[in-house]
Amino acid sequence: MLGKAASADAKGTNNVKQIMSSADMLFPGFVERRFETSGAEIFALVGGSGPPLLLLHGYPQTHLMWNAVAPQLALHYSVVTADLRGYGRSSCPPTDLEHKPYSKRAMAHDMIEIMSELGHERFVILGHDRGARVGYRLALEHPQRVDRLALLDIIPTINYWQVGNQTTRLKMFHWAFLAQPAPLPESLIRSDPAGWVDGRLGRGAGSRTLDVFHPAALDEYRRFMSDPDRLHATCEDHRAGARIDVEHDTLDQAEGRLIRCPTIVLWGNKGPLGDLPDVLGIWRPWCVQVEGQAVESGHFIAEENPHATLAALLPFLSQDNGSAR
Amino acid sequence: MTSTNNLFPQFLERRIKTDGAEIYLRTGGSGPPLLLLHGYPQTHACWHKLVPELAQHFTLVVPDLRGYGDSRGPGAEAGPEAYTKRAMASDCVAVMKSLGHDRWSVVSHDRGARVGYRMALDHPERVHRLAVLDIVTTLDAWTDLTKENAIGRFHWAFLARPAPFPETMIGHDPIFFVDYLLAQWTRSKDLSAFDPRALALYRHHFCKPSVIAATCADYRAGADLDPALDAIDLEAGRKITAPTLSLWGTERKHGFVNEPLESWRPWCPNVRGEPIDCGHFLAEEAPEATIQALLPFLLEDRTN
Repeated sequence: MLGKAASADAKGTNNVKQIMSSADMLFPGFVERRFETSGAEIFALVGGSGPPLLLLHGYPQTHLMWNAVAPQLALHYSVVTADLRGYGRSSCPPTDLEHKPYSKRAMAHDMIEIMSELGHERFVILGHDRGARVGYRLALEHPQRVDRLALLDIIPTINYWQVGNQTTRLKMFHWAFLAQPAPLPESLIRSDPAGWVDGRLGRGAGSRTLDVFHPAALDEYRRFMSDPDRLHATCEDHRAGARIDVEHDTLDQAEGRLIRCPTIVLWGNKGPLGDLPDVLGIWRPWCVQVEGQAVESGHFIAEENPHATLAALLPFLSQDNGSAR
Repeated sequence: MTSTNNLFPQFLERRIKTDGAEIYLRTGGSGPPLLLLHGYPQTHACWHKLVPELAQHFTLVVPDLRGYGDSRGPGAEAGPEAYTKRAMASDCVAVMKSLGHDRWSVVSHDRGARVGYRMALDHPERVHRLAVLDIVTTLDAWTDLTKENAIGRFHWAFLARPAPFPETMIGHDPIFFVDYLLAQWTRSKDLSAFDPRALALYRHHFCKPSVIAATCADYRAGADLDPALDAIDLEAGRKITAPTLSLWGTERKHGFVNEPLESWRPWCPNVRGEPIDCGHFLAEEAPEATIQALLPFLLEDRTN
């Protein structure tokens, strides 16, 4: 099965190559890299030229979610698009009772290490969904490493738990569902992982269909979620999101820690944040400098409306904030 | 195997047709009428430990709610309108009338308690006394926006997702799901509180696709139509006039806005209550303490 990287037999390796061949076409000129971090083995595609830009995907996806924007970004940036630990082709470190190995802090640390290994001391982050949570955590804890931060369709984890109304709660039921103690979500999803993935993607997209997702990407999302270790790991990501990540947010708020780099937040007008009256108002207390806007889209902005996403992102990303790159 | 004969010895079995449902029930004991209403994901069997004592004082009517257990309810095509607590309360009123009762007391748990308090609001002339076990009002449950509440009541949002999503996910392994929830909501986090015969029945009934669909419809109504009914009553200043007893399990992790009594006070001029030292399933985890709390309340006007 795909993703059992540590123990892939010949057949498994062939599977990976097959998927790579179709996925390769989505990221022309990118090369595949694997990194041993202190806590995980991280898979990434690296390509393009220019200042370094790290792309971090969300749930229930992988780096393939960037397929509609990565080629364009690679014209201007050295793009690194990684699979978060527990997702896609990265490894699944064992968890603990506090879910610490799946805290956004631990996931951010993976990214710090792979960017160091690639020689990128400072970089720009573009993150979506869970990856955006890793992105803002990284910016809070490693301010010297992040030039600019772009976040797609999230508010901070602690604010999500606070501002949710009944409508949000029904739309975002998977937060509470995936945070239930093991093995409830694992067992329910395991009987039909592809159906679960399709449901999350289809419900989150503005069109309420799977039309916007590239078939090769869709195939990989379904496939990695069919691996019991990855299914468990992605639940652990959400269990961390209900506990330890919230504790980290709480501590930052108490200590007045801010995201110091320029930050942009984009959200889908038909996504889960579409109904919130003031998304930027929620981010302002967290950021020294934040801007942003709604995009005509559901939750999956980069796939649903890549044109508007790039149109909003590129001017922001190209602004020089005076730091050496 | 699928009968509660051994859990309710000498109780009669009845089936009564109502508007839209056919209600299965057991009846026994002697004295004034007392209606017992079970919750999710259970059946009337959940009362079996209280019944020997209660039957000495009351004529007990112990039904399965529409769609649950051996009762039949409207099918999936009917939609959540058919599973409002108003519709479910209406079944119970029809059942009691058909058994010749004009006025009765209600002891109710979980979803059944939502039916119980809706009955007290919609049919005040029928409900003599009302006991609600381990719930706050549906409106309060949805307006409690703490993280603890979102996680503790995850199933409210999950089961309310449009059909057939939760039905399909649960349907792959219904016994796993029912066992997990039952265990998770007890103090001991296992199934030891449940009599093996009762547990076998919960599993048996929960394996029926019609029961899974009906119970999801119950929660869909609970996400929309039921709190809307509550809001209308609150706005109109309508009260539960029956003396009300609220009991709750101390182990409960749901993040109440306040203690359960504070949820009930705006609704019930005459409410009192106390915690019972157990998890969610008071009647099965702490039957003696539950009886000791219930009986003085239920018998109060007879001893005066």
